[in-house]
Order: sequence, then C-alpha cells, then structure tokens
Amino acid sequence: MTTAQVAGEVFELNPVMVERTVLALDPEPIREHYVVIGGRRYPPKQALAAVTGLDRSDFTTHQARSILRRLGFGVHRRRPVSAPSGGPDVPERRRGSEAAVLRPYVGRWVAQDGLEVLFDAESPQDVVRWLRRNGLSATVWRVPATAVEAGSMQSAP
Amino acid sequence: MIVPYRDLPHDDGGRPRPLLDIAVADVDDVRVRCLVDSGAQNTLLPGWVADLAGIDCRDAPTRSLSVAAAATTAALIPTRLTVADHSWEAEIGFCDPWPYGWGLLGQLSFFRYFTVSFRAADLEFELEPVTS
Repeated sequence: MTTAQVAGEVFELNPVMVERTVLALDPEPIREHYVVIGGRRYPPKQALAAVTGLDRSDFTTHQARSILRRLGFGVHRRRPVSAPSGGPDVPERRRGSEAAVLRPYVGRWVAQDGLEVLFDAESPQDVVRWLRRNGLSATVWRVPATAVEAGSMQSAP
Repeated sequence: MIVPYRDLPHDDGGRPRPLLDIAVADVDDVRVRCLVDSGAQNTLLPGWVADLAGIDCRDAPTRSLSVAAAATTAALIPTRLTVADHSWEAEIGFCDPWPYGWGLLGQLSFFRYFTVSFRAADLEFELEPVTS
C-alpha cells in the first residue's frame, strides 16, 4: 500500500487496485510521458485521475509519474522514432528494433505509426474506433503470433 | 520508392518481410499493411477493410479461394489503392474469413501496376510505377 497526497487529499493506493482500474480503460494518446500498466502504455495523468477520481487539472504530470513509480510501475518518456520507409540506410534500425517494439503485441491488432504502437486491441474495428476518436492516423494490422500467421508455411513445424 | 523489409517478432528468427502500407479508397486516416507477394495471383484484403472504406460487397461477384490452406470467399470490387503519392484502381478481393493480419498484394492488381525489384540481400524492395 502506498500513501499519496494529491490536491490536499490522501489516497491509499496499491498496484493491484491501480491495475484493475486502469486496465478497464482504453489508453489515450501518449504525448510525452507514459506509464506501463499491464503491458499497455497510458498517459500518467489519465491513470492517476482514474484511480483517484480527481480532475487532471488537480495535479501535475510530475506528481502522477512520481506516485505511479512508487507503486512499482515503469514510467517512461516517449522517444521520437522514425519509420523504416526509405531515406538513408540505417541497418540497425532494420534489424531487431521493430521486432522488439512489436513483441508485446504478438497476436494483437495494433495501430502503428512509424516504429511506435499507438494502441492495441482484440479487433481491427476497435483499433479504428480508437484512432478516429482521437483524430489520429496509423497503419492497422495484426502482429502475427506464429510463422504460419505470417504467411510462412515453409517454416511451420 | 525504396521500402525496407520489416522485422517481425518471431521466435523462429523473425525473418524480415516485404510489407507495404496502403490506403484504400478514400480512407486517409487508416492504412492497411500488406505483404508484397509475387506468388499471389489476386490482391486480397480482409473483409473489415471493405467495411472501413464503406464498400458494399453484397452485390459484388464472388470467387471461392484457398488462402493459407483455408477456404475463403472474395468479393471482387474495383477499388482505388494508394501507396505514398501514387494511386491506381484495380479489382480487389475482399475476403471473409481471412487468416492473416495483413493483406496480400498480388500479380493482377499490384504487380501489374508496378515494377518491383526485391533486393533480399539488402532487406529492401523498390517500387517503380508502370507508366503505360
């Protein structure tokens, strides 16, 4: 249990409760900072507002990051990434980096922009709805879970 | 246009694939990932893409196909596709069911419109629109 004081109120928070509450929500688009909860990326203020019931204007991103970090969640800053589409040859960009980004989403439908996964869901319709709700554009596809799903029958056992 | 192959997160070595993102009809906020598949005859997309683009498949001619050893039905509809700033219209098969998380760009409606050079050693392919 972690005690946090936000906007003059005291909250007793624990990671299980935070995870249960936040995972019921679709993540909003990430601007700069994010927290990883249950393998999904959320804006820290969205997560803290959900678990405290406070308005987001009642606290700062810095406060949200600090509290979520104390609860044991990974808090990160978004890094600008570029798409592997033409341009100068950057071999290391091609080999492994995109696979590493996609690995948590195996078998999931994703909205991908460049090397960044914006959102993931069970169905392409859910992904498209999220994109349109947030006014974003991206490539929608399902990350194959097996070699067969990737169309490589020859490598199937 | 030179397009690098894309890495996939596979335990079998994750062989990079020639994948291309295309826009379908007038949909400009969602692109659909496709495998550039020189062994495929037709250009096939999953049925949800037709719904996304507002394409009515009900009265379209259909063809029974086998994809990944599974039967599917393709509704064949002339559709405009766009890659980067190049658009063309061709007959696309919108399939249901569909086994892949991406579409297939095949001979009839894709390679007919591009000269495609695969450079597997360099993990890239090059697209040149056919002018005539």
